[in-house]
Amino acid sequence: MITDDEAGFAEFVAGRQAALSRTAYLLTGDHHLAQDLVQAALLQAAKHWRRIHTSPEAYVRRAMYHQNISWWRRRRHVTEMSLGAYDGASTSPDTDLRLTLDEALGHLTTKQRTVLVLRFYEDLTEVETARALGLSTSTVKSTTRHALARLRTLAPELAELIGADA
Amino acid sequence: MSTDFREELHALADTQTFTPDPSAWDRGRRARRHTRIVRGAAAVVAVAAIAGASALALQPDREARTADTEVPGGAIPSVIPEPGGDVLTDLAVGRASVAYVDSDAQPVLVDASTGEAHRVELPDFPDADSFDDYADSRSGSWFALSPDGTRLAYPTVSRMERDPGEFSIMTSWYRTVDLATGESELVDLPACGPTPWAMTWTPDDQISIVGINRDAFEPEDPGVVSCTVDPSTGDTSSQPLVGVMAPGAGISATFPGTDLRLVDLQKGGPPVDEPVDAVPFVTSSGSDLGRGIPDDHYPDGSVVRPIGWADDSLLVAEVGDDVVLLTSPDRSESEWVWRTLVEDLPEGLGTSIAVDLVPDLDGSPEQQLTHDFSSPGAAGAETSSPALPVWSEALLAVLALVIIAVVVGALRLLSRGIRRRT
Repeated sequence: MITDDEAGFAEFVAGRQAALSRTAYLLTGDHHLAQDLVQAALLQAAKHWRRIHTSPEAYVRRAMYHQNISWWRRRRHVTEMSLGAYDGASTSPDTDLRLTLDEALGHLTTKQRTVLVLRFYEDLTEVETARALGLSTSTVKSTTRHALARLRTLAPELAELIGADA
Repeated sequence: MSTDFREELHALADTQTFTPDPSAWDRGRRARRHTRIVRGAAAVVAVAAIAGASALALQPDREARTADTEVPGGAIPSVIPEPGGDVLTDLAVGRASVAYVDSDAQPVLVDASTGEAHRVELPDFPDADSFDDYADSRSGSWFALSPDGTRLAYPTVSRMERDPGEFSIMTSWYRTVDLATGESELVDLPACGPTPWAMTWTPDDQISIVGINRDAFEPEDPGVVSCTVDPSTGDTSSQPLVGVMAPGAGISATFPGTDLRLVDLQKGGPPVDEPVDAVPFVTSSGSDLGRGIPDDHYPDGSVVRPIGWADDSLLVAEVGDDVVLLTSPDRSESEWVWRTLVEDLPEGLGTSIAVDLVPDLDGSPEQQLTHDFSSPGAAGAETSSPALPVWSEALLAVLALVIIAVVVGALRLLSRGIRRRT
């Protein structure tokens, strides 16, 4: 028998899975990791559903942000990512701005990438981003500034896309 | 910011597809059920242990009842040995008497029953660089052992590179670890601030922290506050006094630097672990009190880090290289005690003690408060005449277990009956 809780969870997953997985991809830069990230966050949500069912999306997104950083901490001990190791490096980034952006994002730190995703994909304000990540607003501001500057350095062809003032 | 950048991010994100695992709900609920069952079993074991400990406590000298190198129920070791063996990854290690972080940022637990020290691997435990970056702001330990020695709490502090070569600290969650089951849980951050200056447990099993107040990032220049977070519900509440509050809430053991503001820290303000001549306290009436540090033992004063309260007026604190038990200065001087529990702590980055293992004081200065695990015949292990023979202790413990099992069974039958009627 399906309980109300299970039905509510299923409805949430069905309604939000696509949006969550899109964010997960931007956070991780890897399609498989993105799947794993969403799945891990949904598992946590199911575990704590009674406590979080009134606002599950905020919980799941926060779990994704922090889980991703936690994974990154473990991964960094195992491998050092090099330019050639990046998924998209074997394609032709020069011919496609999107691939260039994808590759450049992959060379940001996890924190820089996460802040950019929250600010410019999730459209959170600086204060909201700071709250979601447990940072100060000034850290969010400076991280955003440095991340965008690094993108411009990594891929000068993105300057027009990003904007010179950013 | 160009809208093109947002559009490109959206287009990039659209390349991701997702096939949800239909078993997510079942797996999540199973995990929850498993946690509950394990917690329930742990509770029964804990109650049984308490009952057994109560039986043992019928003897007049609680901490020195055996000439063996094991102390049932546990005791604080008089000496903390070097950790041995492999790093433990199974965290179901049982009750600990001491938890500390060594100078390499490796967490170490001392077994309450055997006095043996073991390095442990904890999920998301802060690394050495994180400890180093936050050294000037840590007024206590990041590694907190619950009063009964069965749970750990710590912040999942990580270090992020702000600019090339420039790092900052980020705390995403707190973690608790149940040493009976080995299970770890994430705890939402309290509203009062993410990265603690000090973390301890309250007597009612809440995590207590001291830190810069980042609640809603207002005001612009926040000061130092204390608050608690309930690890099972995530509920937080602020504490009226900064520091490690006594159970009666009338007095708190605090530390130098409570008047610092965020801007002071950003300017590289003074570290909070300056040596002091007196252990500082604040009271609910607003007055500051100090309990003088014996200058014969600490001629230049000492760094003081409060650990927890053994009762309403007895503070356990790290004073220099020692762990000390001292009476709070709001009591009359005739009651004051200053007893060194552990001398020469291992060099490290913070120490926590299971304060429930401090025995009740009997008024005698000769009373042994700790156990010498290395020497069965040492003074600390001398055996007083037992009030009950050993077989009686075992019988009482078994009897307590049977009673608990019967009560639990009856409650389950009762609740099943109620469910059927409804």
